[in-house]
Amino acid sequence: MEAESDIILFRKKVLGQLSNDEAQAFEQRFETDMEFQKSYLEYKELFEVISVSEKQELKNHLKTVSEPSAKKYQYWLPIAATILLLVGAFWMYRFNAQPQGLCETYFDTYPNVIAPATRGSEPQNVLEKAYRNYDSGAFEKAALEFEKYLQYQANSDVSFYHAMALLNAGRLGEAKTILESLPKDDPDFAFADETQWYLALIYIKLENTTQAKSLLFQLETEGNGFKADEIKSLLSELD
Amino acid sequence: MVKNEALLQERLREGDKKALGQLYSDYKAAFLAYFRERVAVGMDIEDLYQDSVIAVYQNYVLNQLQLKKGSVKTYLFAVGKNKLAAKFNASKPYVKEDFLLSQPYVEMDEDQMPMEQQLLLKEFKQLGEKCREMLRLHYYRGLTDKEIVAKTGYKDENTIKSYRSRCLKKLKEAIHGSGK
Repeated sequence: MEAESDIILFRKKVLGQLSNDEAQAFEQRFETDMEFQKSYLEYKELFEVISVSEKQELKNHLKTVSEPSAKKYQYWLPIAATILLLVGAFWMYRFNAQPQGLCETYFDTYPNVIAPATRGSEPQNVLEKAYRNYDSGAFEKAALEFEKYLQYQANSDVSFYHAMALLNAGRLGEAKTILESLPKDDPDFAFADETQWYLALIYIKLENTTQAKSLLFQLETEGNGFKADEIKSLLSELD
Repeated sequence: MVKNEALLQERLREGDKKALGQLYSDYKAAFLAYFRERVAVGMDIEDLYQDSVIAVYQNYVLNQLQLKKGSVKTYLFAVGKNKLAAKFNASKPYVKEDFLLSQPYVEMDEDQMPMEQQLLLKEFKQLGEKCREMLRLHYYRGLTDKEIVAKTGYKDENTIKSYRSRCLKKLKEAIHGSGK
């Protein structure tokens, strides 16, 4: 792995910020030091690739900004708020019927961070439909559509949302089975900590406090800070 | 106003997407009016505006741009004029403000990349969100591992290093896989 000082040089070089002296020294090293040359070319290639990818993402982002209409937003806000209230009320109702306490206090519906709905556009495929339904609180429908998608293509991120849809639909057992099957340290899986957190809540609901605590301890020490405060206070309440 | 302007620039340097949105909405009407009056036909001014806003934003993020004179608006309009000139193959930029000359970062587009690099771009987009973010913070934002630890809450610099090399490995494997 390159030294930090080399990385600073690479950075200056790709941004055209080397002074004359630095540029001369750079060229000389580039010609004679093969390792340095290889590292720089890799850095430059990735810098360019990510810059272009970023530019494309920014363009998409601006499309959402550019649509006219503060009015449209205002129109949707009360609807979104009502849906949230209804989902909240539904959960309160479910859990009050089976008085357990902690799980419901700490539960919240995990937001859709994968495919936020773009206003005005119709969902193009089953996965988009699933996320759209998940967003609008139609969890049973969403679960069905996630399942359909997963029949043809394994994908841990989608499986996580499948489990979330089931969990919100009150199908704890099925949600648990899926969450337990998800990878723990695959760098490509974006929701490892979230998976552990929701599993812990399910274990609490099922009165398996030991397993819940062990998961929460693990999250507290090895996690990336997701729900850090909640984990701490939940653990103290479980003691 | 001056304070707001300074704050906006600070947020742009931080890569704040809300600041990008603000920049985009604040100057859109003025920009479109100005350029529509000066460009005859066959030019998508909205497209020019979008490209200019992104170029300004990327310059703030990548170069940590500090304007020595003029405002964000002047800068944005100058970028627009240069883009326009480049589009019509003018040999020299239409406007040569000092601060533009001191920003030699060359913008790139996908169609200017060699095939292998386009493949790399394709595979990069297929990586998981966390890997993309990890590589983005290092290669694009230019943050040190120490800064990444502070920003992301990963355990320490070694964790960052090994996570990044796992992501790179994944990317390379994907390219070899799809190259077969």
